[in-house]
Amino acid sequence: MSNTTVPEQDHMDAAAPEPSASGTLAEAGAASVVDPTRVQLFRGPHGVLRATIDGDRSVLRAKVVCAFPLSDQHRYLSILDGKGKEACLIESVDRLDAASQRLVAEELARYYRVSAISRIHRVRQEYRTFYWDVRTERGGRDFVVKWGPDTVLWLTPKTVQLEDVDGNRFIIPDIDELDPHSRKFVALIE
Amino acid sequence: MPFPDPLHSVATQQWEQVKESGEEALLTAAADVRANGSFGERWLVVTDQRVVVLPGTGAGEDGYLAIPLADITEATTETLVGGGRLEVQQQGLPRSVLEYTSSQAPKFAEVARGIQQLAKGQPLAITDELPKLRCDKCGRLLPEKNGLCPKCVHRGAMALRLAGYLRPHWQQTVLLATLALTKTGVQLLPPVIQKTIIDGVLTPPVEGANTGGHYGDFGFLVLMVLALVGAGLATSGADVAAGWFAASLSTRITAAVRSELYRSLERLSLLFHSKREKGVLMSVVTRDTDNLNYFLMDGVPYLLSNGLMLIGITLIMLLYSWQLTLIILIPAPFVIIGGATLWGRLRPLWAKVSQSWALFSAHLSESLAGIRVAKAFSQENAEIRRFSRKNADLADITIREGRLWFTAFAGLNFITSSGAFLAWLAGGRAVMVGDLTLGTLVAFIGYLWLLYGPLQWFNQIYNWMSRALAGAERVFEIVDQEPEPYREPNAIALPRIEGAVEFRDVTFGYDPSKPVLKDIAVSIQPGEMIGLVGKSGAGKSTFANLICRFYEADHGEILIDGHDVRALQLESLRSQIGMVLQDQFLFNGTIADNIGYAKPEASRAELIAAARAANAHEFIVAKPDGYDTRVGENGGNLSGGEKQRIAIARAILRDPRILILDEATSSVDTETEHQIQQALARLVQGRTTFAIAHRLSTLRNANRLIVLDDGKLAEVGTHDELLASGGIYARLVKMQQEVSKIQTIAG
Repeated sequence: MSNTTVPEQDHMDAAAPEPSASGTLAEAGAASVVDPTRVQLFRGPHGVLRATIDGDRSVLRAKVVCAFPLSDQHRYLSILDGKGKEACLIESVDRLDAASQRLVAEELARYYRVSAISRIHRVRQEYRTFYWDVRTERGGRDFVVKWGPDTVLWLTPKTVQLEDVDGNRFIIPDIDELDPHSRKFVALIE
Repeated sequence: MPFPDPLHSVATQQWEQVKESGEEALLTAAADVRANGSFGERWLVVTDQRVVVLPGTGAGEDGYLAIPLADITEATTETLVGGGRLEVQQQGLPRSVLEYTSSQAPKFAEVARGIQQLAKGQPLAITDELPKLRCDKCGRLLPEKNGLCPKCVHRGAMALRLAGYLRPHWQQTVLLATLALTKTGVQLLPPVIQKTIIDGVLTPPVEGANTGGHYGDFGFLVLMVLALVGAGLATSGADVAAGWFAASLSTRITAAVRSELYRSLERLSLLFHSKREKGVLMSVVTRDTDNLNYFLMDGVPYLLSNGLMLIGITLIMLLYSWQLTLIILIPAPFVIIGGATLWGRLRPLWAKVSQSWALFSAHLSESLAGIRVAKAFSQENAEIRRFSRKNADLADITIREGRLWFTAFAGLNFITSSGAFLAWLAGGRAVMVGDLTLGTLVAFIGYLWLLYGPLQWFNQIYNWMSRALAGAERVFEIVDQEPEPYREPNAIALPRIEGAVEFRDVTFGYDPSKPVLKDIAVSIQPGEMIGLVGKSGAGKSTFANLICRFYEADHGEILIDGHDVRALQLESLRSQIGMVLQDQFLFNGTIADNIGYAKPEASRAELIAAARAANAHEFIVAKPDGYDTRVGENGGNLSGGEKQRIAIARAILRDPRILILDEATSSVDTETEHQIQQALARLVQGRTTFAIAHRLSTLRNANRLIVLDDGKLAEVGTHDELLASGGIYARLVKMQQEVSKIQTIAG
């Protein structure tokens, strides 16, 4: 797709649908939801993500975020402009074109730096502080988690997300997939 | 040396390859994320010509990157979830330079500042005081930034520091140690007496053996039984006396530690408090000091008396029969290992029980606080289900802990008993062949229980001690923090502030990697009323907080009457600043207590005068208890408008030279707002005032308005000037007028 015919503005607010003050809840909710087939994503200079919506609006510096990053990463994706204002909301990525789907996946992986733990070498516990030494898909890492309901977050009975003292995030997608050695350390936080 | 990270050998080689002649590295920093997103080193070098990225150890997969400084108009950091990205604006277009994990965010915030300074042709002026993530000594990750390394904290030094609190009570300490010695000595007597009774009184003398000649002597038996009674009474007496002294001593020490801790908490900066959860601090003040108390009260005497007992018993048994002693000590290593294993298994379970309790308590507290909302949305049943789940979780973990405890404890008891089996077997045979008397065997078995009991528990004592010392570490970590310089001797005292305030290129962020105020430069004359305007999160309250020096600017200076606030005595500064906030905090006490909080020595006439000026007097006297009305927890017995006016009265009573009104009228109805505005109009007379208000109409009378936008100073001027300029302020005013129209139509 070519972006040469698209007027390049940071974000053309005038064309963006606004929720109706007197409308129903459904109308208000649907106000910024667009049909994914009308959204195209592409890379601009220096690899910056750009988006066109409806073929007549362009977001020069787009950012893709999940509305429900912990509970549903594949639906309700929000495309924001450079100022953090929502340009549109996509209910599902499945109906985006293949190139845009790939870019969405890339952007989400870049924005949500959550490392998946594949093996736990060791966990040392000192009262409520846990010192982890793990292998992730991004390489080995050691980190410290201070136990709390927000730092050891069970997303499902099999999936746990850990947030370390610096704000880095790690996830064990399925504790049943871990080897027995790793599994015994998970018992410390179950 | 270049800041912040010296290049290591691989990066140095790479730098040498791309370096241009005469080019000098002014700033070097290692990132911990490679270009492909994996963890690993990547290097940034900034010179006076270029920003260069080197692949570091990830050579082969990461490419070099070089951006001329002349092309860069801005350098920023973008916060990602679990990381961050350094970006520059290159010829007006954003360009990602490199990524890092959240652990390195503070460092790259400084790096971005440095690039920005160099790109603007300014000298490099960035801080090299970055938060410490790892222990300097052992390299282990610290449990929190700049925190103490648990491994490197010297337990002995900690125990010595605690012992320092004993100095004022040394007589009691000596007495306690003497009692422990006495108790130990007396406890060793009964088995010896039993041996004497069996061998000397009850057993017929064997030819040639010296048994003392008391066989069948009832009088001697009575004497021995009386000795047993005496030993029992002496043990109990020593127990009572030791417990009495230990309770008083440990409680005094803990109270002293708690007082010192609280003094520190009151003196520490808001930055410290804003970074610590209240619950955690409360846990240090209550739970950690309690752990310390229990250990000092029960653990130390136990350790002392049982340690002595172990030594005494082993010596006595060796004297009677070293062969039998060795045999009955066979299970000792198993008891010690079994005990260590048991405590090793129990410790995480205890932590889990504690975690489950914390969750349960937090849930209960939240549910009770939100019971009105639950009822309003008919969610009582859902809340009951949530509570039941938490309750069941807590019950499950407690059952697991209980089962492990009783199973393991029974096993440990069995191992301990095996010492007695061996003693009966080997000792019994020795008695049969005449190598040992029956009395000695009975004494051995008596000592055996005295020996194995403490052995089982020594592991627990170690854990107990570790927990208490870890608690002491947390306590002393707070006590040792640098307090706010409240009354520094060399600081300048300003008896009367005139009210000139100047911000000189001030940058500040609660997290330095995310500045809330950026390069603010503005000068305010004494007596001026300044309206601070901007969207939520623009930095208005932060601006006000910096004037009070609740936080210190990361860069730049704030001057009061020409003096840097950092050079002023905090007490003299804050005593002349009055604050009225949106959600004013009132202490649980009377209305008079709360108004008088600012000036405890104020007379009743002064309290009434302040309340009158704040338009509060009439509603106060209309209450049945007048000024003696108890306000409840955080003023819960008063309405929002009443609380606000009491807060204004409190500020008026202080007669501040600088006044900060942070959304002082935003949470009240129109009539109350009118009354509060009247009160404020009196209050601002002759004082430098900073007013933050969402409703811009309330700032119309300000001498000047300062408009903040995304932490930057966007506009300064009078209401009319800013309206005429058609900038941010004019847009905000227009938007509010439109909202007001909509509300009028809707209403």
